[in-house]
Amino acid sequence: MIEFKDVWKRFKGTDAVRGITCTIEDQEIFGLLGPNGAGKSTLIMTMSTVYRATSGEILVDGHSVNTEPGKVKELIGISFQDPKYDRILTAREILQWHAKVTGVEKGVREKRIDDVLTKFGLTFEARKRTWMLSGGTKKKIENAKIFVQRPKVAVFDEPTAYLDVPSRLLVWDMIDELRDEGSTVLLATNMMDEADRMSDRVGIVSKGEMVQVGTPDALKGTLKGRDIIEMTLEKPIPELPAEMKKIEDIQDAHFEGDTLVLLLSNGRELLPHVINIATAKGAKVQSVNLKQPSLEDVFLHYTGMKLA
Amino acid sequence: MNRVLTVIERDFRIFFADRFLLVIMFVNFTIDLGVSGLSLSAMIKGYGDYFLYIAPGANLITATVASFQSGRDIWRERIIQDTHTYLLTLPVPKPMVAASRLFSGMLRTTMTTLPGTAVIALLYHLSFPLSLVGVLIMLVYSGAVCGLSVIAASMSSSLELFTTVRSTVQVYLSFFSTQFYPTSILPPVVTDVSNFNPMTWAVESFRALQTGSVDVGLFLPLVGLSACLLGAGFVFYRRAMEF
Repeated sequence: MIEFKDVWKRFKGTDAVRGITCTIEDQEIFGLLGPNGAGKSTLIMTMSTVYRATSGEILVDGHSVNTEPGKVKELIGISFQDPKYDRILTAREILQWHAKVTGVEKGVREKRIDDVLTKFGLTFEARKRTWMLSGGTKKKIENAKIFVQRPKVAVFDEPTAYLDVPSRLLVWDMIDELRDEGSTVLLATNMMDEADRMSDRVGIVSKGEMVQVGTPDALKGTLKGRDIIEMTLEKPIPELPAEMKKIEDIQDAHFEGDTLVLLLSNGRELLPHVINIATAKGAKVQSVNLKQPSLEDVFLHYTGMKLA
Repeated sequence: MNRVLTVIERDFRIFFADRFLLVIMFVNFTIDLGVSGLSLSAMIKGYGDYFLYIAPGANLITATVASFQSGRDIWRERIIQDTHTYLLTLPVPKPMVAASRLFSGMLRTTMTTLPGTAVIALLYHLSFPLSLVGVLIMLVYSGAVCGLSVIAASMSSSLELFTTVRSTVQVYLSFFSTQFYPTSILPPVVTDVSNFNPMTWAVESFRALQTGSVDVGLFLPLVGLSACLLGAGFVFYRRAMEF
C-alpha cells in the first residue's frame, strides 16, 4: 500500500505538489492523470526518494520515504518517461546491471532477461549499444528493466509512449501480469485510453493538487447530463421532446431532423424507458445511439482544460 | 558491500566500453613519452637524462585525463542523460554511491596507467616492491584529480563550464608543477605555487624511487591533499544528489 499524507513539494517558491492525500491499495493499478507540469513526475520522484517532500509524509508498504528511504528503494522500480540508462552499454548489459543492483537473485537473472527480451522481440537488438536503437526500442528497454526487476511497487511513466500498437498491447499485458503476481502499479499517463483500460482507479492531478480520485466509470458518472441518446425515428413526433423532459434525469430534448436528441444523466439505465415512451407515442424507432462521456471528457472537465 | 562492487562494476563497464577513448589516452602517453621526451631530452642538457626526468609526468598526465573521466561521467549523468535520478532510485544509499564512484575513478585510472607505470618502472630499474609503490603513487594522485573532477562536475551546469574548469586544472597541474622542469629554474612566485601541487608531489615521489627509497616527505602531503579533495568531491557530489 502507498499512502500520501498531505504531501507538499516546493521548488524555489513554487509549489509543484500541493497537499496531496491519497491511498493506493496493494495490487492496484492506479492511473495518474494530469496535464504537462501538473506535478505527476514530482509526486513520483518524491515517492521514489529522489526529491525530499517539503512537508507531509509518504508511506510505501508502511515505510516512510523520509525516514526509511533505503527500505522504500528496496520495494520500488521506476520506468521513466524518457529512457534513463547508459547508452554506451548494450541492452543486455543494462538489464544485467539493473537486475543485479536491484537484488534480483543470480540464479533467475539471465532467464528473466531472456524471457523479457524474447517477449519484446529484442534478442538481436540486445547486443547493440542502445544509442544505436530506435526511440521505440529504447522505450521497450526502459520498460524491460522493471519487468526483469519485478518490484513490489512498479511505477510506469508513460510506458507506451513511442510504441506501436502491438507493442502497446504487449506492455499492457505485461503490466497486468506484474500486478497479478503481486505488484502495486502506479501508472502515469497522458493517454486516456490507456488509463481507462488499465487502471482500477484513476487520480487526476491539476496544478499540484489531486482534484479527483475514483474508478474510471465512477468518474465518468460524475459528469451529470453528459450522456447523449440519439434516436432516429421514421418521422418526428412534435410532442415527444416535452414528454421526455418530464423525466428527471433528462436535461434537454429536441429534434434534429428525424433524430430525437436527448441530453441526460444515467443514459444506459434510462435507455429502455426512453424507447418505451417513444413507442407508446407511436414512434417507429429506426436506430438508437448512446454516447457516454469518455475519460478524456472527465480529464478536461476536472483540469479546467479545453481542446485547442 | 555487493552493491558497492556493483556501482564500481558499472563505472568500469562504461569506461572500458569506450575503447576509442582508451586508445587515445594510450596514444597521448606514447607521444608524450616517446616523441616529446626523446626530442626534448636531445635539446635539454645539464639536468641529467631528461627523458627519464619527464617520463613519470607523461604517465601522470594520462592519469589526469583518465581521472577527469569520473567527473565527465557524473556531469553527463546530471546534465545530458539524466541518469542521475535513475541512480538515486536504486537501492544503494546515496553516500555509498558517492564513495563508490570516487573509488572506482581511482581504480580505473590506476588500471589505465598500469602499462605506463610498468614502462617507467623498467626504465628506472625499480624493484618489484618499489614498482608497487609507483602504482600506489598513481592511485593516490588519481584520488586528488578524481576529487577535483567530481567537484567540477557537481557544480557545473554547462559543458562549457565543466571543460573550462578541466582545462584550468590541467594547466595548473602541468605548468605550475615540476612535471617538465625543476623548481630551481622557475620564477619565485611559480615555485611557491608549484610546491603546493599534487602533480609536483606525485612526480617527485616517482622520481625519488630511482634512489631506491620512498620519499615520505613528498608522499604524505600527496596523501593528505588527495584525502581532502576526495572528501570535498564526496561532499559536493552528495549535495548534488539532494533536490
